[in-house]
Amino acid sequence: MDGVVAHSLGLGLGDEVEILGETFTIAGLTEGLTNIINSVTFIRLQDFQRLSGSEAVSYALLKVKPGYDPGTVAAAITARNDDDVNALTRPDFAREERQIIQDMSVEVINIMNLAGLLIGLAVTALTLYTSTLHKRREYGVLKAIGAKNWQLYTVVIAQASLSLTLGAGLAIALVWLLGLVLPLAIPNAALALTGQAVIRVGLAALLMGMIAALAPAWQMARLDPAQVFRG
Amino acid sequence: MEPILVVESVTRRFGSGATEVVAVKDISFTVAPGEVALIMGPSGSGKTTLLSILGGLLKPSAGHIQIGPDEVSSMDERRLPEVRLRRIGFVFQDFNLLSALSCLDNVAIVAQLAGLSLSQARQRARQLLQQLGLGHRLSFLPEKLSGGEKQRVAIARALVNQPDLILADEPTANLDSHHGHEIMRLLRRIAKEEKRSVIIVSHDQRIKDIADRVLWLEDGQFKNIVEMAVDPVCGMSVDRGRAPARTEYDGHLFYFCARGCHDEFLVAPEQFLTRQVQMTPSLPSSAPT
Repeated sequence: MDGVVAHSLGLGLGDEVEILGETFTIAGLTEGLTNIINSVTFIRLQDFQRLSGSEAVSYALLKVKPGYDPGTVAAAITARNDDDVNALTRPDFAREERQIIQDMSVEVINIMNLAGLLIGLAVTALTLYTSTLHKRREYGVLKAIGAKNWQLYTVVIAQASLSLTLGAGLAIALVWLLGLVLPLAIPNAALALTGQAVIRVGLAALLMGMIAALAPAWQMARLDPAQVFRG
Repeated sequence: MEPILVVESVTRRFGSGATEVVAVKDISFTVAPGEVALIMGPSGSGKTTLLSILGGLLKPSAGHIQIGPDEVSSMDERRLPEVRLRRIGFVFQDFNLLSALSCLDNVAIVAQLAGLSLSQARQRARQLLQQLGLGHRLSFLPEKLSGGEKQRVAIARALVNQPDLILADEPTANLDSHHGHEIMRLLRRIAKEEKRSVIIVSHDQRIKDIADRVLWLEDGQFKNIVEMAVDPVCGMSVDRGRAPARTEYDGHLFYFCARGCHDEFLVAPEQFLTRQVQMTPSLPSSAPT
């Protein structure tokens, strides 16, 4: 049994566990065979066939003799068994498994990303808009004194950039921290912070900033500087 | 001396047809360098509209306005901010300082808008604030200042780009009489020493003596212009119509704030004449009717 599952069930070597309605004794603990979707537990083939009522198997793990190339062996097995058997080397198998997990979870993650983007956009836009509205009179004063629209836009852009840089920086730092803490709390979940993800977050923040700055900029362009004399 | 501000037949209408309102009607006047002109009038008389037009914030429906070499009434909207920034200094009733900026930066930001670097702008702002007695308040936020101090910061902001014309909208309205007078004396000193023209719009009767000329605006037109004379003895501005004493000497008419000044003048007129020439501001060549 995988150590993460055993740990979460409060079991150890020699303890009993029920699999497919039958009680087994844990004879060993594996590592790295638990992911966010499932985990792998090994039982004897005869037991599995008896309990499942079928002789079919999903996977068979082969070890080639020294001096043989796994890729060549895998290709030969596949060619010999037509479509019934698909033989893969260890790296290919790992890649395929990762792809399956990604395919199963990517939609959920994409929806979460989109929700995050929309919430971030709404918060940033509202913050900028409210802040501009709050300082409307002061922007009017600057405009009356002689500030040009582009100079006022610069203020909004600087505000948006600062807010989003702080926000994105904080988010990345939190994810990094979560990546350290999460496996301790939930052992079968791992969080990887890649450079690509940081760039994606940065670009998303830039996009958010540009969209969020539109409303305040429009508000400033319409601001009548003569209002400063109207008390 | 060439006037700084020339206003010719300026009219401003709002709306059209049956709903048309003429806020300013065919107004003409000029303001000379160093002159302090006070525009007074009842609420709704057109003072705010006129001030907005003079400040290049509102286009007149008809007429011409020239500030220095710039004809602002026909100027492209995109060029007006530059004129406001460099030729006009604004002083507002509510001070209108930027709440998040220190005194120094409230003044420096206007110099920065005009193209100065941050260090140059701060240096100029620091000098001005020190001249106005606010050297010890440079890093203070506006909320920490008294009303008089806030208005002095606003005056420093108005002066930082060395404008020819200063427009002050009710500059004493939010101040007690002591600080109000202090601010008015400061504006007058700036006008006289730096030869800047100052136009003040106010309801405050107490500041009339600071002005060289009082213009009464009613129903969008000037009425009963009161020209102020300078008492040659004490230097006070005196309403020519209400001066308690006057005398003619060497072909000129002199006005006095009190009998005492009048009597002192008569003892030795010559000693006050040079001073009189220095203190009398240049009045505009054309006066409104």
